[in-house]
Amino acid sequence: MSHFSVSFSRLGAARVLALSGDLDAHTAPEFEAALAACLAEGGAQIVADGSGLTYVSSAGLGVFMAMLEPARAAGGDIVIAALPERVFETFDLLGFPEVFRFAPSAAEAAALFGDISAGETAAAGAPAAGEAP
Amino acid sequence: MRRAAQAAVATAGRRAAAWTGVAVGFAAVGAARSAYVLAGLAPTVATSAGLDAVAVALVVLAYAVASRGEAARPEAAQADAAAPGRGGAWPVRSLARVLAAAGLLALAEGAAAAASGSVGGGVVRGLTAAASGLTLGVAEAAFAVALALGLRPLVLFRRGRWTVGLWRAALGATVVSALAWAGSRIDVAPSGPAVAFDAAAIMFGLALVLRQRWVALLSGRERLAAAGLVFALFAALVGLLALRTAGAGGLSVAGGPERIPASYVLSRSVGGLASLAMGLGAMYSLTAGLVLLFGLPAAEPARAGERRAFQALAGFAGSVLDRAALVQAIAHGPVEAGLADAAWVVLSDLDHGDLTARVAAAEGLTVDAATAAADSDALARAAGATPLVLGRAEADHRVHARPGSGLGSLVVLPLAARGEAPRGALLAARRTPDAYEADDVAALDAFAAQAALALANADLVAGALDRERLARELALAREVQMRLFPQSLPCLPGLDIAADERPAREIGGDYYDAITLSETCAGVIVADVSGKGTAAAFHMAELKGIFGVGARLTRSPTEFLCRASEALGPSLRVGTFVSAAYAVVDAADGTLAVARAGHCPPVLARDPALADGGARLLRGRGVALGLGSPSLFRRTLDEQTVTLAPGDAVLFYTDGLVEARDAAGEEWGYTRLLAAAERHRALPARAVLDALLAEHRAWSATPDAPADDVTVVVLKWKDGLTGSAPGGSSASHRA
Repeated sequence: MSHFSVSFSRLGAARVLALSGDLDAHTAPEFEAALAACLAEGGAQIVADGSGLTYVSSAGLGVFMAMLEPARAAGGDIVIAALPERVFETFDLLGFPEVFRFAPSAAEAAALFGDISAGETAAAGAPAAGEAP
Repeated sequence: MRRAAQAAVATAGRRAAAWTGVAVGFAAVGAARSAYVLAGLAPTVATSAGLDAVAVALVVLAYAVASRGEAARPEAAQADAAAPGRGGAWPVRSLARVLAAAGLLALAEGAAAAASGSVGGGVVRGLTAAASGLTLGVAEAAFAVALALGLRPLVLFRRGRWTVGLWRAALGATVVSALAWAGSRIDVAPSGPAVAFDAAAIMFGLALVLRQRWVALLSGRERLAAAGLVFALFAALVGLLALRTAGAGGLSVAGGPERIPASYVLSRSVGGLASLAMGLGAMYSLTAGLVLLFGLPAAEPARAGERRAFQALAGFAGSVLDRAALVQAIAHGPVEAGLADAAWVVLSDLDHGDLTARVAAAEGLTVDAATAAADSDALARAAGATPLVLGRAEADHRVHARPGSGLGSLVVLPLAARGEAPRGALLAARRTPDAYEADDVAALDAFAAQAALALANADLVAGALDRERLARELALAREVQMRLFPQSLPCLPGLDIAADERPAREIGGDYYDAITLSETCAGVIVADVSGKGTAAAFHMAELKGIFGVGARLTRSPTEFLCRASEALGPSLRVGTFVSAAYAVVDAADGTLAVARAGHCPPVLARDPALADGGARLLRGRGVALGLGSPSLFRRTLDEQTVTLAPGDAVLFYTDGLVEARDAAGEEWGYTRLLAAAERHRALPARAVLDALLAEHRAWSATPDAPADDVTVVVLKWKDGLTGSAPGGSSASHRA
């Protein structure tokens, strides 16, 4: 019924996971496995390209939460990019912009990892929060 | 392929050499005998015994080579096994061949008798008698071999260990008896040992005459044909015996009335062997004829066994609740039916992701022994969807059992219910090689199909039971969840509160509560635990405990939520979070303080006629509990304070309300929520709630089974300003 897919690509140092479809309780394990595989391969600088997402449920949000600490512990981060407005609304409602960095596009998200290596993590959330409608 | 071809060529070469040896041997024995006859001398006892022994050895060699030739045609056996429908004809063909051989021999004996009668006396007569005697001797030896080879598949059909043993004993006794004659003069009475071995061979033969299971293979017409053939064979064999001794073909001994077979000229031993073979053959063919004609039950025990096997399985298939007993019954079936000396069942455990088929039950040997005996998984894979028959199991690389360990032949039967991939295999083994005939395999295959169906049913029932148990657990969790909602709501002057909760089919994590904090103040919380099921219900219960104690300690929503975050945080699994909106309202002055921890923003609906009228979202900053560290939570939580105007309605709700979808998949959304809130805000709290939920229901594609819990709390302040309606509160849940 609900369709969901994850595809991998690289953008500079970052791994880009392009998500499309509904990220709900049924499809969240697939996303979690994809993120875990990415981390296991040593790719901790992750861009979640949500331009194809049509819906995200609390289970889907939980996956982002669960994988954020491991990514940061491995010296990377998860940047959420290019969310459609309605999907961003869900993230925003729960306060995700306070915790995650958001970017308007996958390219800009990948560029943020330059900041991380330069040690400028503190202000990263601010521009993303500005995305909120 | 090439190696196999070379081996075949080598085998053919060896066989040709063996046959040449047999022919040369008989020629040499015949030449020696002729020389003595022509010279008019009698050979010494030692010479005669040597010639006899050689002749018997040649017959044994001929039998061995001929039976190897039979065994070297496995593809023929396979073809029969693959087409059980044609399997019935081979006993008839085999009997016809033996009968033809008997006819040829009778012709030869008759011709010899005619020749001996027509020719004159003297040397010529002696020469003729010698020549015909030698020819007949070889012909009888050949016939004895043909007879043994022709009857062997009938006797040994669906062989057991005992049958094979008896067959070998009968052959052995016949050969030994023939050897006991070696060296004796052709015209003397039988010696003691020879008679004893003759008797032994006949005893073994008598034990074998009831081995007539092949009769069960035949259709009605084939039974008639076979009956005709075996009676004809019986008559031919008796006739041959009479023709050789009593008829014109025999030699008279010392001018007396007693006559001996002409073939004794070649070898007394081989002649005796042929007599014994003919006698045994006559016994067997007579019994076969009687079995065929009168339907004697010689062929029945196996059928009865098959019935028992199926009955045993049917009994267990009824009690599908005990899967282990069912699997054991499947292993037991072939042994019970006499279709195997040992059998075991291998199954792959797909539920636990284990594709390798492992021994689940064994009969006639232990599970460990069955596991060690063969790579059953590889055999099951090799079998695929059709039975795999290994006539010489110990020669197969997948069978680890040593020769002589009781794994002579093996049948691997896939356990596949109709239209499904095999879930395992049933392996049936017999101690003797080549012990499985086509109809055995067909019976086993039918049994395995039935067994697979029973297994599939058992799995279905087990699945249904699992679902039922899950449903019971969910019902229990639902009951617990319903008790977590408040049984009554605060009742303060000027404050009108209504709440409703519509559960989804799955247990969600919605929670709401309202509590009286002082004479004028009340606290209202709406929360949503991420995820569903019993874990969510557990966190709800935890939250209720925290709320019941913590809310009374402070009038500050921020303070309460921060403490709740600290208290709840450690027990939340990573990835699980709780969103909550908490408001403290003072019914005396209409002050509403609200903090939103990642929860859906409450709606404030005010009379549009007022300055800041209309419906709007109270959208303060804040992250969900469990989303970040306690310090991040406190830092980001943003408390809003609103001074309510008389008649204001405040809506708290969970995401199930705004995320409900219509048939086209469109969400109800905030725009429709705000519009509905503005439309109905003037009504009392309960009526606002009902109107809202009615609109929401009308939108939802599945109003009776919402995808998510829907929780709404409506708070109205100073509805009674106009004096029309006093404040009151109501809560309701629908389970």
